Amino acid sequence: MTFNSLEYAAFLPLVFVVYWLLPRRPQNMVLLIASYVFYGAFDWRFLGLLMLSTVTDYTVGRLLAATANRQRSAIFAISLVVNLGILGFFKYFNFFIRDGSRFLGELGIHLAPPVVQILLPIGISFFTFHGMSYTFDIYRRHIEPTHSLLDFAVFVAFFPQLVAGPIGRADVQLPQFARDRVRPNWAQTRRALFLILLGLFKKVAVADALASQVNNAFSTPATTSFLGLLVGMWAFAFQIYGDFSGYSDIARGSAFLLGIDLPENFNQPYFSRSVTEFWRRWHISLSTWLRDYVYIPLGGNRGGELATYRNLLLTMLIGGLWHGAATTFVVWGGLHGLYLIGERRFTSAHSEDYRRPWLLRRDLWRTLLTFQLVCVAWVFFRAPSTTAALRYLIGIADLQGGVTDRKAIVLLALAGAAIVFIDLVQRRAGDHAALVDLSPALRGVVYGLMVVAIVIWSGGTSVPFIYFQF
Amino acid sequence: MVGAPLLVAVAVLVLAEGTMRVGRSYLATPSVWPAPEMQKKYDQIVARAASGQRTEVVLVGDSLMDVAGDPAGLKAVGAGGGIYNASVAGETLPTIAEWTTKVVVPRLHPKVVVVGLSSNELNPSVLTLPSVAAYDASRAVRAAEGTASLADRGDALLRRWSMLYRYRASLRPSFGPPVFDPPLSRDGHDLAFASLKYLQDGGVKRSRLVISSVIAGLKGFAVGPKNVAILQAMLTTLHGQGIRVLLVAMPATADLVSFHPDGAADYRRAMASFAAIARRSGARFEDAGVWPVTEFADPVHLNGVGTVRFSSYLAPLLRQT
Repeated sequence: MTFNSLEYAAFLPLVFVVYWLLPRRPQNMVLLIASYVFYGAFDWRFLGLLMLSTVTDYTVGRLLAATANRQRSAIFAISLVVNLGILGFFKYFNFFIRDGSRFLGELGIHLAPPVVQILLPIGISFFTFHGMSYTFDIYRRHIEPTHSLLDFAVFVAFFPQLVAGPIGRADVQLPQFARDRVRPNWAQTRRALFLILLGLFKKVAVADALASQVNNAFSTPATTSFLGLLVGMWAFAFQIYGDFSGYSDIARGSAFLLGIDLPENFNQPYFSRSVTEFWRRWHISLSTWLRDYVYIPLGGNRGGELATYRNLLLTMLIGGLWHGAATTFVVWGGLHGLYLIGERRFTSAHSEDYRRPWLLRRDLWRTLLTFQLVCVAWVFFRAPSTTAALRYLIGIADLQGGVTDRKAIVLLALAGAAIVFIDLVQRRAGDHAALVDLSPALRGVVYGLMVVAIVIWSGGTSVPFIYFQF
Repeated sequence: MVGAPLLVAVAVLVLAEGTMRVGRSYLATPSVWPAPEMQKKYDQIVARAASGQRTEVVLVGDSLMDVAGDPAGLKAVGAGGGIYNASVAGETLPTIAEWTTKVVVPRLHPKVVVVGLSSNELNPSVLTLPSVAAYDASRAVRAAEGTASLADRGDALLRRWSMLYRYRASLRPSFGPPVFDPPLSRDGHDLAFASLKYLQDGGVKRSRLVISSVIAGLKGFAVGPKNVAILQAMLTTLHGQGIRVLLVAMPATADLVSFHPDGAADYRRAMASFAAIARRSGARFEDAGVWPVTEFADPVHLNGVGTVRFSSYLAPLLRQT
């Protein structure tokens, strides 16, 4: 049951109505049942894993609070072992077996490892990180454990964020499930509905609209011109942004309707003037998770320049590996790590001279350069292999001749303009639902155009949300 | 506060709808079936059934039978009239079976069904091709098979009411290779390959594409148990409805046989499986064998010369069936 399905269009209103008819305790029960139904609709066989992760983290949290210093590490390790064990087996088993045997083969040691067909449970990287952040925070004595298994189970399984985030933080979100919620008033409901409409627009009319041309560019790089490859690369940048931020908008809108405030996951990332800034604006819930639970525990920037570079690189490599068991994701993460190191080593703070003409401002050129750097990394993220990614980039660098589809350029321009317009309005207002505050007539035009675009692009190439695979 | 934006939004929608109603004559009719050829053949079948035109024989299969089965040619060599070619290029065993038993036969009520297949249809790889998923996901297929869901009915209603909705696919640009949409005769014969010589006449690029896809389709060739079960169920179902069934292994080139990983041995295994399946399901089996390349447009598709010979080959079999 994806957010852009008719099933979800029936499911959310049903949950909404039942939920607000009940007091808090039964409300959480409704949320838990709804979340398990939502997850089970993808594959009910993995519900057991979700429950195992939930019960383990809840129990570890309780034990941590009741245990003296010496044994705390051992108890915390249980949560790590279970969550990372689930993640490792389902997500990385074949990757390490396959690549490990290939590596040994190059050393002359030939093994015939078993190939096990393992289905990847949807949202596994999200709910395991969810749970681990809870036990980690209790272990570090940043929060107290909850006494309610029901509240905790809802925190882990809350359906709007279960399969593709934003990754919840217990200190912010768990208290919301423990207290009475206030039914949203009309202004809040309008805001929530707008976020859902905006998310659908980004998913259907931007991401899905661009999917076919991106697939085409990445499947036939040898016969596509360098311009076609560039367009394909930029199109993927907008596709993944529309896809993932669209999902996050629908998740936040759905949660708002249920009186729960989810964290913002994107903040106009392509307006970033550096890759460091990009990571403060892109997939914010993951980047802050990695900062708090990987980078800082590794030492952060406290051990001198070299240690900081090492920590940055390691954190980004883990971030890459989090996305998937493939060398392409590791290279993607590594590239971002190198960007961050390079920025830290070679750039200094500057102040913009706003008297300069718009086109000569340094911020504009830094923004464009950052976008290009991010796009180069996206090629590794999207390509089927690192070799294919390198061939793609070489095709661009060589100014390769071949086919250029003009339709692709027009479509990219339209989709890109829509995204830039939305982000500009949000940036100026400092609010994700800023379009709600436009004048009534303009708002009506925007709503109408969004619905028309959704109608036109619905029923075309049906592309699952990209982050579902993670 | 609520009313003004909503009214403007509705006005935008009405304007878009009105524009589509005015401009739709300039747009191609959008296809609702997974493949344009399937859409055309469905329309032909429905029209044929509605007109009361008699259908004695239906030819089904993939692109091999699509180009080889010429109802007019068969009539000319004495196979009789009332023949319709319901084969669809690009389809494989699972969809051929469903299309035949749930769409074609219930509408045309033939006395004889000729199933024309080649060895590749027994390879398990054909079960997971995108065309199979597209067929399974198609609302048009579910509607034609009488299994339309509530959402499918809603979709059909919207198509009737809104031109913006109905023609939306025509507004979307398409990328990638063009979709195969062959010219058809009135009785379903695919005419795309008729004038081609073997790997010649500008067909080289297309032939390379066919060759690479045939080789890919035969990769790791094996007779899949699920493929056997699907074919047997299809033939048994037809036989159970009182229909006489002729299973034909389509004419092959020596090149096609050599493309199998184990060459002629693989090919013989496939033919033996066809014979066994036909025996178990009350159908008759005929192997057309290997024909010279002068009768082919590429390693698998007959050209016009080959189609004439295929008509002469099939006509006596039809008379005997």
